[in-house]
Amino acid sequence: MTLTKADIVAEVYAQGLLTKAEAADAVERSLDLIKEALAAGEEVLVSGFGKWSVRAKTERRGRNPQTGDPLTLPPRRVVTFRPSRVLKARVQEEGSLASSAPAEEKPEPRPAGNGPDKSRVLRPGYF
Amino acid sequence: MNKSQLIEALAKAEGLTIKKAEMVINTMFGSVEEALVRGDRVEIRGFGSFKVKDYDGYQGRNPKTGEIIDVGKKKLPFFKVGKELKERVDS
Repeated sequence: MTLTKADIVAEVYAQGLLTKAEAADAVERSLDLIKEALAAGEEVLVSGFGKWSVRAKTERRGRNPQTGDPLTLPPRRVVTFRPSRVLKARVQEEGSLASSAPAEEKPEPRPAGNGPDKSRVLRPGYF
Repeated sequence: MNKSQLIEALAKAEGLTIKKAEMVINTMFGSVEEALVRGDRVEIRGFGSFKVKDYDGYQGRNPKTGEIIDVGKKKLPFFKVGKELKERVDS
């Protein structure tokens, strides 16, 4: 199944604070605001969800994949998304009980000689 | 722009209270997150789409010690930029 904008609007409406029209406008506006910020080169950080940023790509030589002709690709700006650690962990544990996971995730002192914990690599400094 | 700035901007632009704007933003990202946790795709025209990508396990090395480690299979959320957003950012 695919979640669409209409489904999101329906969920916002279901919270009971807005009319259907208000919910639709608010969702549309939120997306516009995010797009505007990115178009202005700004980063958008939704903590607990992820971060969109704009990266500048330098000019590079490429090839037309069909004819093999060399061509120069101009410098451009692209949007990248990095999911937050929280979102990654939740997607990872899909199928298991989400509510029971935080307790299991607590780091426990490992008995000596058991080798390093290979299951997780936490990068400090990333939200 | 962070989440609280987005909430404020939305409240201002739509004439909503902060509480209502906060509900909109939280519900939006909450429903995207729930869909991804279920393994569903999310498609928002003009903005982009989200899906969960499966990655196979592989053998890697600890860059510090050189020790060989097994990296297990994993699932990661992935965002593909939509056409409109892509064009707006690059113009």
